[in-house]
Amino acid sequence: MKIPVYWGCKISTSEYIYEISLRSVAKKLRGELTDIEDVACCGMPIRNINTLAATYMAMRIMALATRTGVNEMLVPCSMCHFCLTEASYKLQSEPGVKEKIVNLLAEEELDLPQGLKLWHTVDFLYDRIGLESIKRCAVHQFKEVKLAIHPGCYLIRPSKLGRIDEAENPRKLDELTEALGIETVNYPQKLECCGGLSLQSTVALAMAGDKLKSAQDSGADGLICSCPHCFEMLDSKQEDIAASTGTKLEIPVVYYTQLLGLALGLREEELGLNLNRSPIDKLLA
Amino acid sequence: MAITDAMSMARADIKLKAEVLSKVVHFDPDACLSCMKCTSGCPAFRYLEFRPDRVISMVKLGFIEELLSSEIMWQCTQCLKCTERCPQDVAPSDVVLMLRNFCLRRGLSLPEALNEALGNILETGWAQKPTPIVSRKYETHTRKELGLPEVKMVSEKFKETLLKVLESGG
Repeated sequence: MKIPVYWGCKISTSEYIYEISLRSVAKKLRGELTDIEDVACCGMPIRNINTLAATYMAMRIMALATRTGVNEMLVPCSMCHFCLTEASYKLQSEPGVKEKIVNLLAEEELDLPQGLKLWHTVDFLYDRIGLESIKRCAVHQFKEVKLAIHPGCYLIRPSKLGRIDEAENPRKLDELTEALGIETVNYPQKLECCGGLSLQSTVALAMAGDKLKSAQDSGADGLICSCPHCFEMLDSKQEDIAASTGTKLEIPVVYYTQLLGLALGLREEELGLNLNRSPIDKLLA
Repeated sequence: MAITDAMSMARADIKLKAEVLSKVVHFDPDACLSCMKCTSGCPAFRYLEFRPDRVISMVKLGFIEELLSSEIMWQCTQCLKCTERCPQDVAPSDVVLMLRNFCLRRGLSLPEALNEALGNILETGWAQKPTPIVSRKYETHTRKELGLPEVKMVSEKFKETLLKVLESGG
C-alpha cells in the first residue's frame, strides 16, 4: 500500500519522535509512505492573520498530493488535518472562495484537488486498517498498566467539519490502545486543551499541568497522544510545567505510534523511545 | 484598559460590524441567546477570565474597534469547544479568528510568536526552522543524525503567491 504523507511544520522541525515511529510502524505493516515534493506549512498560523491565505496554503498541499496519482493522503498532525479539512469545507460553503483558490493555484499550474481522502493516523489505523488486523499483528505482551488517552482538540472538534472522532465521547484512540491488551482509564480532563495554542506561555503551562495532573490523579500510568503540538506540551515541557506550577508530575507520555510499534515487536530505537522527555522508562521496564 | 472602560466611551460601529461578520459565514449574531455555554467550557475563561459570550455580545453591538484595541482576542486558545457546543451555531472561535484577521489589515501589531511564524513561512515555507531535540538523558539529536530526510525549502513561486494574497488583504 502506497500513500502520500504530509508531515507539516511541527513534525518536520521538532517532533521527530512521531515521524520516526510512524515511519517504522508503516514499514512494519508493509505500507509505503511517500513524501510530497515542494509542500510548505498547512496555513494553521496564517489562519490568524488571513484566512484566505491559509485556505490557499492548505489547498496547494492537497493539489500537490493529487499529483502523486493516489487519491488519499495521510496527515499525522491533528492541526494540519483540521486546517486541510477546513479549507475544503470553506471551498464548498463560502461564496467566492473556490474561484479565488482556482486562480491562485493556477499560478503554479496546479488543478483544484478533488475527492482527495484525508486520513489522520488515528482513523487510518482504526477505520482503514481496523482493530482486528492490529490485534492480529500485535506480538508483544505489555505489563499490566492503565493508560489515559489525550485525544486533543483538533482530532475531535468541530464536528460540523467532520472530525476523526466524536466530539464529546471520543473512543477511537481508547479502542486502539485496548486492542493492544492495555486497559484505558478515564479522567476528568480528557476533553480539555493541552494549551499548545495559547499565546501566553504561563497559561499554556498551567493548562497542560492541570491536564497531566488530572490523568495522574486518576491512576493512569501513562498518557497516549496523537498530535505533535499536544505531545510537545505534555511530554517535552513536562519538566518546565512541574517547575513553573509547583506540581509533582511524573507521568510517561508516548505517541500511540510508539506504543503500537512496541506491540508489533519493533525495537525502542526504531520508535524514538530514547527521545521522549517524560519518564517513560517506568512504563517500558 | 479593561474592556468595560473602553465600552463606556465608545459608539457602536455598525459598518465595521458588518465587515467582520461578512467574513464569518453561517454566523448570525442575533442567534446568540447568551446561554454562556461557550464561556462555561472555555479554558481561557478558567485561566484568564476571557469571556467568549461577551465577545459575541460586543460584536452584536458593534464595538469592534474596542475589541480590537483591547487585544482580548489573543487570549483565546482556539480549542474550538465553544463552537462545538453552541446550541445556536454561533461559532465564537471563528469570530475570534476574524477579529485577529482584522489586526494586520488595520495595521495593529501581531503577537511575537505569529510574526516569527509568518517570517519563517515567507523565508522557507515552514513555520519553524528544524531544531535539534534533547532527550531525557539530555543528549541532543538533529534530524540528520536520526536518519530523517532533509526538510526542503519551498519554491519561490509559492512565496510570491502567498505574499500577494497577504498584501491584498484576502
